[in-house]
Amino acid sequence: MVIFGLGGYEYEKTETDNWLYDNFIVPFNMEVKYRFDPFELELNKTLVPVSEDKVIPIMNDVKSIWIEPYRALVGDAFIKTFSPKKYVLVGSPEYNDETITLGQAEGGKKIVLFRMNWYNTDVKDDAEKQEQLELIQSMMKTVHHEFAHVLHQTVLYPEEYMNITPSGYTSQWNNVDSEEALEKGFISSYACASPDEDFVEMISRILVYGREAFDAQVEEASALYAKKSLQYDPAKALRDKESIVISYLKSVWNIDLYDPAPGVKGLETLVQEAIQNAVNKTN
Amino acid sequence: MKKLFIYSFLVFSLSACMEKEAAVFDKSPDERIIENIQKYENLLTSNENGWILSVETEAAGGFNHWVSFDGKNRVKMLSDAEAYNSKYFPGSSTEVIESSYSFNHMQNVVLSFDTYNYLHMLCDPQGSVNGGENSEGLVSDFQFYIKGFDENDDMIMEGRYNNSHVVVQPCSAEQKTAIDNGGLKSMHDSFNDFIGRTVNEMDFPVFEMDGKKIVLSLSSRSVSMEYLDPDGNIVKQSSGAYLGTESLSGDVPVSNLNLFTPIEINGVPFNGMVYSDGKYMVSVGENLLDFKDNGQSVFPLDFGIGREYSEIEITPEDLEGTIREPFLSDVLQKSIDGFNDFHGGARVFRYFVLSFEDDEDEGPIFSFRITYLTVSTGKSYSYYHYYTFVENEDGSVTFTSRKPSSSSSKKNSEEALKPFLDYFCEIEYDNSGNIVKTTPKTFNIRYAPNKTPGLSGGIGAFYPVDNEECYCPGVLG
Repeated sequence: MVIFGLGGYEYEKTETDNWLYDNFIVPFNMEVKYRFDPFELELNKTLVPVSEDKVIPIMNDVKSIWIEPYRALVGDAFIKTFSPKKYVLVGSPEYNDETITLGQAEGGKKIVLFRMNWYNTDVKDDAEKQEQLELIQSMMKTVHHEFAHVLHQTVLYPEEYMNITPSGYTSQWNNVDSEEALEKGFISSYACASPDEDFVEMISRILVYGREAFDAQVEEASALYAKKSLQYDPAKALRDKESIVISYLKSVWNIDLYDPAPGVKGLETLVQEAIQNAVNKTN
Repeated sequence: MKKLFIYSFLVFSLSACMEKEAAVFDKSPDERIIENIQKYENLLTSNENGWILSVETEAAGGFNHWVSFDGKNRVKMLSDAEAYNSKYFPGSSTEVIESSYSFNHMQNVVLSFDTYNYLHMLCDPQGSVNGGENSEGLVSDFQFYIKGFDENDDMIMEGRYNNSHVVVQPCSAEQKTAIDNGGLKSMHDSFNDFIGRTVNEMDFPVFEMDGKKIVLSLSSRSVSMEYLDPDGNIVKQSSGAYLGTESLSGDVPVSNLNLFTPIEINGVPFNGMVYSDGKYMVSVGENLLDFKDNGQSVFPLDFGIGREYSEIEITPEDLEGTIREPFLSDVLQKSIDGFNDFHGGARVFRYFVLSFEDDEDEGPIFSFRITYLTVSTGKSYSYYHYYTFVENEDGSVTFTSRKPSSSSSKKNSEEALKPFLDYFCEIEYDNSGNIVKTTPKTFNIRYAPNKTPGLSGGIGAFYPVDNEECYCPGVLG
């Protein structure tokens, strides 16, 4: 007896399907949905699918900038155990009242990446290269952000983290601009949303934007503290948070956030190198 | 007897417990679903020349696509969208996009275009993709319920998300050849050319039905109709439209224009436009109706103090084509040139605003305002001339007098503006500057034809009753 729809729709396999099978399904048991399925998304939002020619380059970047660095440090089993089992690619941004959604995660099981049609497969000049860098950083920040949630939902970070800047957390985080966030000792406006978001923003932003960029933010926070009458030193707050993040990753997962020794690469270096390779390869 | 009773009781009891089912269908629901899907997939993959898929968007009317399904979830597509806007959709009529499709069943058979192609560009919520509003795009669909077939055997579909109307027709080999050479765009070029030479040559194109005059506005993607209801209210009805394929062959200069949803007026369906006997005719029920130029607007203009409109603005460079001879040269340009010459380059004319006002000192007054640029400061200034007026019983307006200029600067340039100032009410002065003769002028104020490409908004005009040809138009405000 045939039951319609049981087992899902059977498509004729394309080159993209075969590549995803070889690079995600087989090694990591991870499904990548690029064909539009409205039931994976918000039903009341206007969204469109991704352009097919962008799927492999995008997922190649996801693999090289997220999976490979973790694999290099802690092996295959780590990714297989903790990775989200489904990626959904959407072509357009998801519009809200005053913002757009760049990425979504559901309980660590599924990650939705929006505005994937912005991905440029034919970068022509420095301006386009910069745009591509910003898109890849934004995309990978979402990936690393959501993965960091999986980690801390598996093993929570130390409670003391929540007590570093407790007065700065707010549900109105989207009304906090980046300078105000920095004054309060937060790496981003979104970090002000809650301790969990704060924690994963620290990890994802240090990885994706790099240690130097974080150090520059700390310096800026220090300058703000010298210039304004702030309740506490935001630079110290950021360093305290950084310290907990480093310790957490090492003690819980045996992952070095930064290079532990000369010639030995930490997670941040591996991610930064992968991002540069991804941007330069499309040139 | 007792045994007979027991046996009978047993037989009847058993038969009461036996349920009998009569199957309504000879196949299971899943078998019928699969069969239904197969039917449509077989049909859509059967034509090697592909199909013409016409989809209605809420924001921009109808769009035609050529689509070809290969039976292996791959579809090729072209679109006429570049005729809508070549900046957003460059090359859409000649560059094939290949993408994924699937059939599914959600309450009805659904044809889904799963990966990005021209249909999605219309739906994309990012305004920079299609010129639509952010979060909405042009408001269309890319997943469609298949509803069945219409009386022409065209496949009818409806969008799952925005209920967009879709018509799918088979493409012939000849049409395919024309489409391969950019035919989807050239159909629109042919339409615009034909309409420009015919319907748009008229000032007020109307058609008549049962004594009612109906104003028609046409584009290659939508149709709207306006008329007066029995209470004198203006009723407007619109529908998205799509061009037929008739002009692809080159045998006719313009394709028929088909409405996705017929517009009904008094129960009579208007289906679109049909090219017949060298003319574009309105298809009404079983009949074809002709256009004519009504000569003036069907609708009265509500213009005056406290009315829907009370002023018109005349910026000549924004009204090219709308301001006509003889008014353009004999009145307007003469006045503008006179003003500019009088001021020798120190002041440059910008625009006029003519309005009815209820002045707190003067009462109801007609204001003639000129705005000019003072070159040395780069700033704009205005001054006014005022007229008294009466509203006549027949609806016309007579400008009875013009107030003398109060300031010397106004008086000095009044002579330069004389053609336009006297247009409404002629004044003659003696050598001492006293008014010695006043000649009132009477006007009808009506809608005027908008002949400026790209100009939106209504155009009103003052029509001199003794010389309607020399009318003064401007943008209503």
